[in-house]
Amino acid sequence: MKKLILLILLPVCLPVNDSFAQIAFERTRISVTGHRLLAGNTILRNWDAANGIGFEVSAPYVFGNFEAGLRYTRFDEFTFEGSGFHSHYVFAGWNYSYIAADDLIFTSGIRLGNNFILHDQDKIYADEYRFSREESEFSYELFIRLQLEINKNTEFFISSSYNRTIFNIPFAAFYGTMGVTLKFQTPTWLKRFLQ
Amino acid sequence: MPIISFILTLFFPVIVTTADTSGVLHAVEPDSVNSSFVMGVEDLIWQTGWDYASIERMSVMIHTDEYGYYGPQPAFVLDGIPFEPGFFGVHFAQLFPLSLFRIENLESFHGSGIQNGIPYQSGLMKLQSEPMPQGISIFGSGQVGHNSGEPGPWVFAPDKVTPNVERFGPWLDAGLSIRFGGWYARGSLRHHDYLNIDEFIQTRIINMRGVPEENIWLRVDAISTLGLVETGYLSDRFEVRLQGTRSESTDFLFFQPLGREIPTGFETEQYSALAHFQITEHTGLRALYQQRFMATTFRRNYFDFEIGWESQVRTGRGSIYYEGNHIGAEAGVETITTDITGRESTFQTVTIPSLFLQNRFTIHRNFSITTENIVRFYNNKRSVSTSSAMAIQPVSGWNVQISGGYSELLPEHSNPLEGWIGQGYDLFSHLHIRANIPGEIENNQLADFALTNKIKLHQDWNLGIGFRYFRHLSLQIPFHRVHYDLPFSTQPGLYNLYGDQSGERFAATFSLHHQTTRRIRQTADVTYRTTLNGDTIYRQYWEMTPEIRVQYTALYSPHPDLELQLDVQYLSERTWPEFSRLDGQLNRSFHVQFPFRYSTYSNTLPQHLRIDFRVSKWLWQQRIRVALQLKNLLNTDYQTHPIGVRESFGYMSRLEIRF
Repeated sequence: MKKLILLILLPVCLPVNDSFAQIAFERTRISVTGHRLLAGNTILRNWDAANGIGFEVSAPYVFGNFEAGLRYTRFDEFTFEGSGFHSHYVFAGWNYSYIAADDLIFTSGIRLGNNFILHDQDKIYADEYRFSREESEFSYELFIRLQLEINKNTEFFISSSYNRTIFNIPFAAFYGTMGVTLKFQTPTWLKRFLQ
Repeated sequence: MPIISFILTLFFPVIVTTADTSGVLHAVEPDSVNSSFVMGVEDLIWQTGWDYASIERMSVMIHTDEYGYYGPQPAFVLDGIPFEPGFFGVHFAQLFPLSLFRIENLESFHGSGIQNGIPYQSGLMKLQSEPMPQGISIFGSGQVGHNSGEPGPWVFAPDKVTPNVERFGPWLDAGLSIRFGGWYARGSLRHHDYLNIDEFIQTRIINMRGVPEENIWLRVDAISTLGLVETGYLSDRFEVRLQGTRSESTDFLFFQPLGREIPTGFETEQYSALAHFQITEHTGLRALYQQRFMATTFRRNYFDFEIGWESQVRTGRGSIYYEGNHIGAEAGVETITTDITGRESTFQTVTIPSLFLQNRFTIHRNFSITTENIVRFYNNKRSVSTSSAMAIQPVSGWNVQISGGYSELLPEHSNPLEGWIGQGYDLFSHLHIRANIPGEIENNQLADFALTNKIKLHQDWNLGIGFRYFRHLSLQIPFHRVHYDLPFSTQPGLYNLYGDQSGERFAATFSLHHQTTRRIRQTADVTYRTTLNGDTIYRQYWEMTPEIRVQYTALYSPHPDLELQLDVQYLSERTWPEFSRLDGQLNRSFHVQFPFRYSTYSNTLPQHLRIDFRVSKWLWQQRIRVALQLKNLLNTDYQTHPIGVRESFGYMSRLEIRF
């Protein structure tokens, strides 16, 4: 939680300097991603994560970039019959990019969102206490990303992220992600909407 | 100062006062509300300088420096029309007649006084709604949130499963407004749902709604629906508003004489007519007529408790004002008629007429005197409130205000419940409460003196230093030392109304405000309050007030469509003597299915630090706004009431749409 506070406070403390300014939402990036859960805490003793897919969209803002996205992962149960679940992480976030070399960009950022879980079955205790298949909880993520510019409109990237969903027993995991990004001039209607 | 006030009033009854700039004696700085970040009633209280205690986050008891938690509560006004968002001194966010994010401006006034022709006796929260655009416009919003700690996949693990956590929402608000020239009409509908299952209070809440003999466990959520319709005409010199509101709710009402909540329903209905005519450049008339119906309804509970209370209040008010460059005055009359029915007993109709007079006399552009006087009559009794303020500007950038006053409250205003009990309202015996109430309840009497400095340190920096001294000459204090009970947290003990309590209090406030153009606005304030001396119960009563309160708010808007806000609050330790018998006693979670979680009650609320972070973003040329609030980032385990929820990290999100 302290990491989350520091990262939230970071943009507040950044100097306000117009040299950061860029034209908001001028270009749009759409990414298709594939990811793998690399490590996690106690939840992995009972559930096994499959590879997952995701979708991200981002656009430059005054400084840094806004982004939003969805990441889907399937977790199969080792124990507890019917407890397998589909995880849908819906997020919005902010990131900042640094040009590391001519074609190489380093990005780091924070995402805030909700982890929507859909279990295979409801869980019922003693014919009385019914837990719905649907669960959701606040989830935040810190990530770093290396982007390789293939051409003016296309990028390839790899990233690593630390995600924490604040269940009563928190679910923490490291993900490795790779993906392809398509960059294009933001359509006028979309720019108007985002502004 | 009261003497000066009287003398000025007697000798200069016509020449003294102002209209729209009056009523500054006890004002907190008027502030435009950052409506994107008003997610609940506590966000409004934050800006007023009052404290609050909440059992379940949705309702608050407001603590004023004049009368504490159990004295008369502040009055509420929206666009000049009074409203009452609560019952028995507890205020509910869902009973505010407008969507909280549509509040444009908030001003709060402390103590007694007169504000734009509205006399108040224990503070005033004055809200102004967003201006209505010309043509037809609609809005809608949805708000949801919850605390952290859902069980997640562990619901399938019998040894690790935990209950679901508290859920806020869905809160749905929608409205339509039409404006052509000066004429307008608007309507809005609010529907709020709140699932009341906080782990700390669920034992009590669920048990109260349970009928174990029939194996029935009824719903523990609070649902409220409120509608408003209004039409009127607005111009530079003429304002007329006709408004009607109606609401129905099922909820839990914290009732201090019982020491816990009563599952109950609410019904309210209010019709108002407001007029303001500016006759000439300097003179005008204000008038208000309002009829308000409020009632509690039965909500099934284990004890079959029913408050059975109905209130019909008719308010008529009129005033005339003169506002000149050097002098100003507003004089008016108000009549409030109250009919109460309690558990099928009808009590004596109470009609309280009052006269009020407000004066301003600007002797020099750097020196002015304002006085406010209110006299209320009932039967052969009367109450007088009088206050005066001198505003001086010794040098450019330094404003000093010296004010003082004396105010009385009739028991019909300060302790109405005890009056109804005395007339035969059998609520206490129905709730099994033993009570000791004096046959004759005296007026509350308070004298206060204040010194306020506002210093412009630099172009962007302002410093405020204020001191206030209170002398309670006679304070009627309701005090109920409750008994401990595991299933219901408390059982009633002996309820006493301690009359004629006296003592002295002192408060000091230091505030620093910094604003640069549109990008950064930050305010820090430190408040210190202490009891100098007083009777035993008087001293215990004010132990519920935190001695030190530190608040810091920073608003950062890097671009007009994006806002970030950081709120930090520190409250020092405070003790609720009424709950001393619960101190150290066991509490546990309710569900037998889950491993019990144990905690202990404490009537001392430890000091705590709370940090909230909020962000909002406009979309589609300010037609859509999304707002997110992360509450209690430190995940501090704090409470605002000894039997209230324990706060933990949580979030609230809202989507607003306007066309």
